Amino acid sequence: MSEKKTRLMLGNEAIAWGAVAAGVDIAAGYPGTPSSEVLQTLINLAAEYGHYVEWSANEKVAVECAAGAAVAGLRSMAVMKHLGLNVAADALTTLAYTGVRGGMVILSAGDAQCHTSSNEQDARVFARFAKIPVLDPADPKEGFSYAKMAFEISEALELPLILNSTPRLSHASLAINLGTIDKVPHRKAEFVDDKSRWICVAASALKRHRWLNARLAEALDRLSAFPLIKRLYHGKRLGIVTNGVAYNYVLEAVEALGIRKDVSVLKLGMSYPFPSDAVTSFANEVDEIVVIEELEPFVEDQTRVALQKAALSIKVHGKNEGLVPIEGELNPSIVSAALIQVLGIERRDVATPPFELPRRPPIFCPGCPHRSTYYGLREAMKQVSPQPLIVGDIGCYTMVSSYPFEMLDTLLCMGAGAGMAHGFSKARLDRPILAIMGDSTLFHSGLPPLANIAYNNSNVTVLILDNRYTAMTGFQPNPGTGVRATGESATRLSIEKVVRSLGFGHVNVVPAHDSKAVSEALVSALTFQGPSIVISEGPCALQEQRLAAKRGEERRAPFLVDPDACIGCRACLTTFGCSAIQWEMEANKAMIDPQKCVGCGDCVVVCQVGAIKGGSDA
Amino acid sequence: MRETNILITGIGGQGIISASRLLAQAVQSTGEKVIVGETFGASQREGSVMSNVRIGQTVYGPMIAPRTADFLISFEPYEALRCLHSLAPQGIVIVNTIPSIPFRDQMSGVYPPLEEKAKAVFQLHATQSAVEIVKKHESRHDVTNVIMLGAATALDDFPVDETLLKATLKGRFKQSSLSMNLEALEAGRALMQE
Repeated sequence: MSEKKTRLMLGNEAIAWGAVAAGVDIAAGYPGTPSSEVLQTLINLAAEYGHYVEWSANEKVAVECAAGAAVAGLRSMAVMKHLGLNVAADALTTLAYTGVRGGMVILSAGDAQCHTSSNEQDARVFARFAKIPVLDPADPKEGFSYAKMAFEISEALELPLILNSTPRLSHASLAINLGTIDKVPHRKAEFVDDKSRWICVAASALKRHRWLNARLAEALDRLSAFPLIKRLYHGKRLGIVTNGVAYNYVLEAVEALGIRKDVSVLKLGMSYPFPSDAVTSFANEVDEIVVIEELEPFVEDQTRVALQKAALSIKVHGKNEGLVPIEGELNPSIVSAALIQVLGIERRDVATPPFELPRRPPIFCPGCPHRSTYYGLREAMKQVSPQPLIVGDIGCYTMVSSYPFEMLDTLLCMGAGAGMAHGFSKARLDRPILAIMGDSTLFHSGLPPLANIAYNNSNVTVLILDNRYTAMTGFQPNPGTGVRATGESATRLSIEKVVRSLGFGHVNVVPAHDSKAVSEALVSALTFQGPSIVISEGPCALQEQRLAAKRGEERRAPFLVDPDACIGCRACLTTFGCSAIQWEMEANKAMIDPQKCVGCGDCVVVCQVGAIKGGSDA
Repeated sequence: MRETNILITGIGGQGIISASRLLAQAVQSTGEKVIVGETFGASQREGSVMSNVRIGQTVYGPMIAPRTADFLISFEPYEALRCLHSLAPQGIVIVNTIPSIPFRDQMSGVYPPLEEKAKAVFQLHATQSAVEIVKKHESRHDVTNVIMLGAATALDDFPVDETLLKATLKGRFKQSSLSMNLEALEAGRALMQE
């Protein structure tokens, strides 16, 4: 038992502490912004609190790991970003039928506004589709209390449960008093044999579906003791129904507009199963209702259904009439504008629009092995005709779409690069097809499409950029790293052996920092008829620098541009794009910023006049 | 106490997130309510970074609404412009003068001088000071962020004063890097006097 001091805490840390306070036994996840700090915090606390924690190969594996533990009676957690729910969907949608014995919580961190995601799908809609209850905490403090409560609710219902976060909760900080966190003894796993439950197929599946529906119907009665609903203010004119982070914006808008006397607020901490009774009794006390929620009109539509069932005729404002946008995240201004319109009050001054400024698209870090690999790819493209179609995948290496490479043709989702490349090839597109894929993506969802390419003899080249970490989300380890989440070493899976065993014969492994070798291997692969693979190996430069600093190693000496040799052709800027190389407007020459240069020397080959010097020449 | 909104902006790697957490920690140590909202994502790779520090009993959400930032502390001139619509009519801007031009724009000269867009600003040569201090201490860390926070403490209305920031730094850094950070704080205050 230890009494914790009040301290400022990130929403994701608070969620992890909530799980620890609930005595979580097993946690598994796959990294993805904005969810990653939840599992990282659980990793940091594993030695002290004794839970098992891992970065799994993908979200489905993480959910299945948590499911195994929860069926055996343990408390478990699976952590992912919202898109991970799709990967885990096959497991989750049937797990709702079997249910669980121990509490099982799936943390899904959404991304309204697509800050770092390819879509902004609403986890609440997914929850209803999968028939899994969903809790929507509003701030880091609730992140902690809801996470703790989620395990109890899951056990009370015998169902897995989704805890729905957003960037404005996950990446917000608040002072939180954790109170006393007991080190509870971890549960002993026990498998209670019940073939009619755990073998979900045919007749048993149908029975379990009936069980699930009955359980969902009675869920709200079972949960009456949990503080999931908040009522605020007593105005009659407008009832504001809200949910999740939107609640904060409602409070701020009500204060800013000075309309406390006109409104009542109903905050729903759980949006599925829907607390219809709470909403209808709220509706009885107000003249009109406005629903303020982020993303889909989920609470709004269910509110309409609840009112119709209760034969209440009351106006409901929200997204269906275009009052509040469905796309993008909300903020106090949007909420204020909606309330102003519904209440017909006078509009305050409008903010000046932001200036139009150059955007800052992300670029590869100095020393990044991907830059050298892509420089080699561009050189290879010059020697291959017609030009290959480049089919992308998710990771740092996706930035091949940005300046100065701009070579990407498609991007869909994790693992889709190789899968779609196969489709382009079988569609007989009259060009060579190149799929690109990182090491973490390979283990996440790249193995099935690779097996498919090899088995169906698809004329596809796959360029695997192996930087040994899941770098973009914070250097998490994967099965190709050689270390586990909690630090102990593991046997690295050899990507070369894996792809050879999947049936690829034409395989070349090249060092990423040797762009000439990369280029030659790619020309050979792209002109080969049949499945081929190039593996470009080079560990993430940022992670290498972090590890070197930890070991107390000196920084490598920076390279420099010899101003007498530089002819100002700008090739180093327009074809290579390292942020350490800069343009000196007045001198009309390139220069290297010694603060940014990490001394990799990859740029030396780029300069046709040999003006970049360093390393052994310096 | 009335509500105070501080927006800290710049680009990835400049220490914006640490600066905002340091500031919030200082405020929290006085018992005042504080909320921080961070926007980063892929910004580690030279993208824009924003951190919202909100102080007061009536702040709920982590985001500063347009025209309500009392202080805009920008580690890069153009990121200040990007956030200028957040500044309250009487708000104060403290900005590091050294631009970091987006990579693809550095040869085109499309980056207009800051003075054309904004006036009521304190412009500090923070990057140069940081480079000098780091060099002197033979460190590989950047202290631009502490210089910028130190500069802000020289303003009367700023919710964190010199003493409180010093105390927070002492709680945060080991002896070896503490003296460098305290020097950065002083350098920031000195830059505001100029």
